Amino acid sequence: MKKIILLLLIIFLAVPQFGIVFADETNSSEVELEEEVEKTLEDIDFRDMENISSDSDLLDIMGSFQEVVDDLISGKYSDNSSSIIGEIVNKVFSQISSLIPVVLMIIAVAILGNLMRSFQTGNNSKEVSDLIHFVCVAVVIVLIVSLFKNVYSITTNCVENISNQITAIFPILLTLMTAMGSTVSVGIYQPVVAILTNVIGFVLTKILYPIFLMSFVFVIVGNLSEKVKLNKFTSFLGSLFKWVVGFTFTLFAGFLAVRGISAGKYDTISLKATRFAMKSYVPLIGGYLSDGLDYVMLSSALIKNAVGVAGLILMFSTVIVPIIYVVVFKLLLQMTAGVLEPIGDSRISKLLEDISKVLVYPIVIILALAFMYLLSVGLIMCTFVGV
Amino acid sequence: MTSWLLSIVGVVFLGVMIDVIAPSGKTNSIIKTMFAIMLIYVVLSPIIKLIGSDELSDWIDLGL
Repeated sequence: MKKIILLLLIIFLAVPQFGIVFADETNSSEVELEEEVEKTLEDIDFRDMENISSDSDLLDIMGSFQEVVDDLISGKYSDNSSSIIGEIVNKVFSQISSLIPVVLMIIAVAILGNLMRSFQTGNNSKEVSDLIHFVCVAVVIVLIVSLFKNVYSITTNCVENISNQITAIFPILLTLMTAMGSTVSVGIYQPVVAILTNVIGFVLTKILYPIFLMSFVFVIVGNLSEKVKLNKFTSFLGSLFKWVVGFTFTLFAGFLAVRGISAGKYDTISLKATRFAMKSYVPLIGGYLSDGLDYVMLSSALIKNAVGVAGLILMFSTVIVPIIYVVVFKLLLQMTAGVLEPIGDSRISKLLEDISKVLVYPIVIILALAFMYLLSVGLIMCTFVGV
Repeated sequence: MTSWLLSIVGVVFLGVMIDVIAPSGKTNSIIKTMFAIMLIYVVLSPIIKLIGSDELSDWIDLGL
C-alpha cells in the first residue's frame, strides 16, 4: 500500500513537471535561437558596409545597414516603398529639369544654323553652308560633352561603389557559411569572389570603359563632316563591346552555377555524417551537442540571408540613380533628334541619335556588374545545408 | 591609348578644317585623298607598332 501511494505521488508530482518541461523545451528553442543570433550578430563587423551605405543617397531613408539586417531577421522589415518610389521620381524630375536647358539650347542652335543657311545667297554658298554647319555641330558637341562628363563620373563612381560593396560583403557571407558548415561551398565561392572583384573588375574598367569612351569619341569625330567617315569603326567597337560582355558574362554565370550547385550537395552529406557521428559516438551529451550545432547553423543561415538581402537592397539603391540619370539623358537626346529631324538638316539629328546609342554602354556595364553580384549573393543565400 | 585617340581626333579635325576652308578645285580632291591615307595610317598605328617591334614575337614565344 505504501509503495502504491508512493508511486502515485511520484506520478502526480512528475507528470506536470514533464508537461512544464516539454512546454519549456518548445519555448526555449526559440529563445535559444534568438540568443544565438544576437551573439553571432554582435561578433560580425559591419563597419565596411556602414561606410559604404552612408555614401548612398537612398539608404538614409531606409536606415543604417545594421538596422536593416536586424529588421530582416526579426521579420519587422517594411521597405516603406512609397517613400523610396517618391524619392526616385523626385530624382528623375530634378534630372530632367537640369537637362532641359541644354536640350533647348541644342534645338535653338540647330534652328538658327538652318535659318542662316536658308537665307544666305551668293556664289560660294556651298562652302559657307558647310562652314555654318561645322560651327553648329561644334556648339552642339560642346554642349553634349559638358553633360557627358557628368555621365562618366557618375557611372564610374557607381561601378567603383559596387566593387567596394562586393569586397565588403563577401567576407561576412563566407564567414557565416563556414559557421554553417558549408566548407566545400566556401572553397568554391572564394575563387568566385576573387574572379568577380579582380578579373571582372579589370574587364569592366580596363576594357569595356575604354571601348565606351572610344566609341563616343569616334561618333563625334565621324559626324563632324560628311567627308570623314568613321561609322564602320564605331560599329566595330560596338560589336567588340557586345562580344566581350557576352563572353565574360556567360563564363562567369556558367562557372558559378555549376560549381555552386554541386558544392551544396557535398556539404549536406558531410554535415549529416558529422551530426550522426556526434550523436552516436559522443557518450551521454552527444544528442545535446548535435542539437546545439543545429542552433548555431540555423542562426548563421538566418543572418547570412538577412545580410545578403540587405546587401542587395544597398546595391539596388546605388545602381538605380546612375541608371536613371543615363537613361533620362539618352531618351532626351533621342527626343531632340526626333524634334530636329523635320527642320531639314539630318546631320545634327544623326549625331544626336548616334550619341544616344553609345550611351547604352555604361548602362550595360553597370547592369552586368549588378547582375553578377546578384547572382553570386543569390546562390550563396540558396546554399543551405539541409537539416 | 589616349595619345592614339587624340591623334585620330587631331587628324580628323585638321582634315575637316582644311576641307571647309580650302577652295574646291582639282587639288582639293588630292588633299582629301592624302588625308584619308593619313587617317588610315593613324588608325592602324598601334598594329604597325606591334608588328614592327619585338613585342609580338616575344608574345608568341611566351605562348609556345
